[in-house]
Amino acid sequence: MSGEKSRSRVLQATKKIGELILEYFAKASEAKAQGKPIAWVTVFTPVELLRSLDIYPVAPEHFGAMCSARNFILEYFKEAERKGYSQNLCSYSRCGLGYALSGMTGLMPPPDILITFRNSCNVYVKWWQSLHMHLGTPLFVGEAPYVLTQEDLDNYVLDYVVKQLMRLIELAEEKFKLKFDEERLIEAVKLSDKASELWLEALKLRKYKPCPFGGRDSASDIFPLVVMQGTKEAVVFYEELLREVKEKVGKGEGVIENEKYRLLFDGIWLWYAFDMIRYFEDKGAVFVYEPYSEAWAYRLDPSKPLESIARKILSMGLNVDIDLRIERFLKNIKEFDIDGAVLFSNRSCKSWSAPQLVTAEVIGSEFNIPYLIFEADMADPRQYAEAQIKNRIDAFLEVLRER
Amino acid sequence: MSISISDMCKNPEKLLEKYEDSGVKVLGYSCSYVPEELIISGGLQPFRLPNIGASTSKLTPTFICQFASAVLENILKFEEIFCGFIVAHTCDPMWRLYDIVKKKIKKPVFFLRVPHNTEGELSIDFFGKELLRLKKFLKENFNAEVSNDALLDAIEICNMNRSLLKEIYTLNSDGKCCVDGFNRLQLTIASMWMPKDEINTQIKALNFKSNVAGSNKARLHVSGTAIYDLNMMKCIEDSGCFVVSDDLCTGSRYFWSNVENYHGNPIYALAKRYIQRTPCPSHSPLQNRLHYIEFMIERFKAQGVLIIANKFCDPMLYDAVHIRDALAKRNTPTILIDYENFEQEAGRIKTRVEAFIETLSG
Amino acid sequence: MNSMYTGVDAGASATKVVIIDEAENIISYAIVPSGVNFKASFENALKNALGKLNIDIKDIVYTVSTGYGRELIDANAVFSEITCISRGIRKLYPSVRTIIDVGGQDSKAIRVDENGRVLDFVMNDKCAAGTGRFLEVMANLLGKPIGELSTLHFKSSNPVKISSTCTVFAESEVVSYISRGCKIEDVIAGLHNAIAERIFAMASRIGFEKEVAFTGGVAKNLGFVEALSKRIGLTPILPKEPQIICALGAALLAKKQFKEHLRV
Repeated sequence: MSGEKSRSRVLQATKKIGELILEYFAKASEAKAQGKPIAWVTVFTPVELLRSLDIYPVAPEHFGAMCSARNFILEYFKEAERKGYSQNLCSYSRCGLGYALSGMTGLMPPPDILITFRNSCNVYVKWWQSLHMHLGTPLFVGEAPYVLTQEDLDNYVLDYVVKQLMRLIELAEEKFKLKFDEERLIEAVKLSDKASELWLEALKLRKYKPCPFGGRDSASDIFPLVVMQGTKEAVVFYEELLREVKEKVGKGEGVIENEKYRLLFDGIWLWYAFDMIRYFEDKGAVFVYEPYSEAWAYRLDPSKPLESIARKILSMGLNVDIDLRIERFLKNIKEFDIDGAVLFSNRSCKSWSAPQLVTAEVIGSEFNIPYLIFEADMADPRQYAEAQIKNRIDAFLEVLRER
Repeated sequence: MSISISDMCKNPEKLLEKYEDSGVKVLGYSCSYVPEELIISGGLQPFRLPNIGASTSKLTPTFICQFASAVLENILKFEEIFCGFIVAHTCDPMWRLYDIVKKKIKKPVFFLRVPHNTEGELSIDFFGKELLRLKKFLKENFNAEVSNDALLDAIEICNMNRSLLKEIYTLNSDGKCCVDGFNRLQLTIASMWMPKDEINTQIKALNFKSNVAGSNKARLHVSGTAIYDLNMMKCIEDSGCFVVSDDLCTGSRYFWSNVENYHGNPIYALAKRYIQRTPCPSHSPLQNRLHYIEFMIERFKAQGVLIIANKFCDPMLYDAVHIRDALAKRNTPTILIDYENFEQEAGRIKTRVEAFIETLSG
Repeated sequence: MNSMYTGVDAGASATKVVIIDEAENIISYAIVPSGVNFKASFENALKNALGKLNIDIKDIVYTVSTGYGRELIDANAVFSEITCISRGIRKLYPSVRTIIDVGGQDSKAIRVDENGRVLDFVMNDKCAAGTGRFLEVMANLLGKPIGELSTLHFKSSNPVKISSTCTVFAESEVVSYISRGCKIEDVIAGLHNAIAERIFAMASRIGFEKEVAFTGGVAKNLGFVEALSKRIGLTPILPKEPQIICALGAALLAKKQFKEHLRV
């Protein structure tokens, strides 16, 4: 690779995310100053519900991703490790715990309530328990049980989740003297649904050749859906983004000029190594589909707000049966015309990584496409063996070239 | 079926072969959240799946804990002998073990969704419904009819087993040294593999009344998850201590509480007992477990606590910080021993335990 | 009769023998490479130590062994390195409350109270990256003898940043720096900083209550000592012979055990 400047493109919309993030944190501090309760939430928590209670949510997982991307995560790791947390634990949690143990004077205001719903992983429960032990903040541990069949979205499993949401409302009203406002809930659900609709439409446009936006966009652009669901700002952002993407499709403008390989990326991104995505793009390979990017987009029904929120947190991410997940994969590989798959075996996410090989085998055999699995960490740069991984990427791209 | 307990614990394959030869239908299950009573009342023999005899699996990444990986390997290796499997939702690797097993084997597998928040009626209610679903699974896959009477009998015999194990365990109360960790672990594991009437008979015939010689050894409590390898317990006690108590999944937490008030609604009673006993490290609330550990230390007069965690065991590694903090408040020394593969690291583990014991004597 | 007591620290890299007299003065000591036969290395080291001052082996009344190969030595009693290092340091520097020991194949941090009692300890004995082995591998790679690392360290003006926590990956980084033309002293200083970082991370779990002492073979490398001192942010107590502190502690325990033996 010569010293040529990378010619791959990023959306204008994506460039606005940094600002959006700062605004969102500023609003959190404002809310805190006004005496509104701040909730630290795990990312598949019913944020729409919190808006109806006027609780302001912040997501330490996103905080971890941001600290990693901006290169100030190591200090938080050290704080957590000093307390005795093993380096083999989820790096988001080490960041969050280190932050909590060192005074919380950064962007994220201290929590008044800790809320988690176990759906993507069990570490949620452990991490939130640990925060509760250190901070003494009230803790709500909810659960969206593993969805084994479609029936679970309509039977006692759904019922269990709805009841927990109602319990959360009860506790919030009791503890914080808040008033649950059904109108606000319906409004938040409508907005969240709209944002999901817009983003899903944008994602579908990646089926076009050349693909109008790649990994460096999708990685950042999900932010409003992760913590800002139920806000007008999120809808505005996605409206602008969709407009821009449609324009690009109209002009036939892709991420790169010469799109040779259309790839799938399975996993969370390496937040400190976006140059890895560029590395692929400079060699003509574009990421056109990631399960991660659609994980937060879910259509809601404002006529049944609690029920549809419950269905959402049941179905998100990794919480549905492996056969249902594989089905989704296979459908999208066909629709997006994928040439190869890159799977990131993330040391921090055992829930994702544990069954990856089995998934890769199915993908590989079903479509006879090559796949690459590499190991690293999503937020801890100390576990990134750059030279070795780039080697593997080169070999993978060579295999693609031969086909 | 007469088989020596110690032989069987070293070589569970032999017992499985005996079951196969005698036409006993064996159902493998992953952890102590699975009610053995349901399995027994369906006429099947429950067999708790250990990690011994296997190392890691090629199907999982290197950073998945060896326990889950080895259980996976054992399921794949011994699929033929079992009629089916039940995997309970505890930690992430065990959750994904279900995903992998589902794709890799032909025998029926049931995923038991255990609520991770064990407090409150909602959780008991949900778990009760899961148990009904399990009942249906047993009927549909093995023609195992779980009648009310059979269930009551099964609860009784399991309660008896648990009471017997607890009786033995509590012989070490208040500073006595009657039964060492090795022997207690052996009996507990045997209870998870052998027919209940058989193991109950064998336990009743044991005599552990007198104080064991060498009872001036350091008294330690072992905190951890599932230990099946008796060599590990032996290694710890050979380092110069007496393991007087534990909070292991394959230890006291397996038998400490019985199923109560089960005549009216046995499914509800089962759900209540299994959910409300001291929770597994992967479950909430943590405080219940901390209180349990403190209670154990007090009752059995432990001088120090060994926290044993697999190097990649998330629940234990988070908990270790809080266990240490809680015990530091009452001046009980603790040490965290993490390992990847016990067999290869026995020497290392012994070094640490020895050093820890030395610090206790000052 | 002049009673002598022996402590032997059978480390994975080197075997250290210390002989003390009734007054607990160090009479003699020896350090020999361990190789694969601990028994032979011990005998060798002992002969060496005895030979220096014309002592008769019959004057040695009690021997305590410790370290990796402790069970393979013909000793009267065995103790852990944690206990031995604490005893050794207590004898020489009673004001020490934290000990950081970096050996050939492991590293430890120990916290002691005002009576020398061990309060807490942590060990890294699985990974080469925080031990002498790391420096051995790198010195070999750079074609420099271990003894020269310290001198080169102090010549450095612009240490490189080694980001990998793994020895194998760090090797790639070193190769990359050298091929880019970085000065060897800057690479060595960078390596010292990397190993200091690892040890700091391990030890910070038990804290750095003063006085802090450095022991173990790697503490003879003053470049490394400087890197670790800077990282922790204090000036440590550095024994003149940091590599024999553990064996000294073992010898002191030998005396204590012998006296207790007699009373029984």
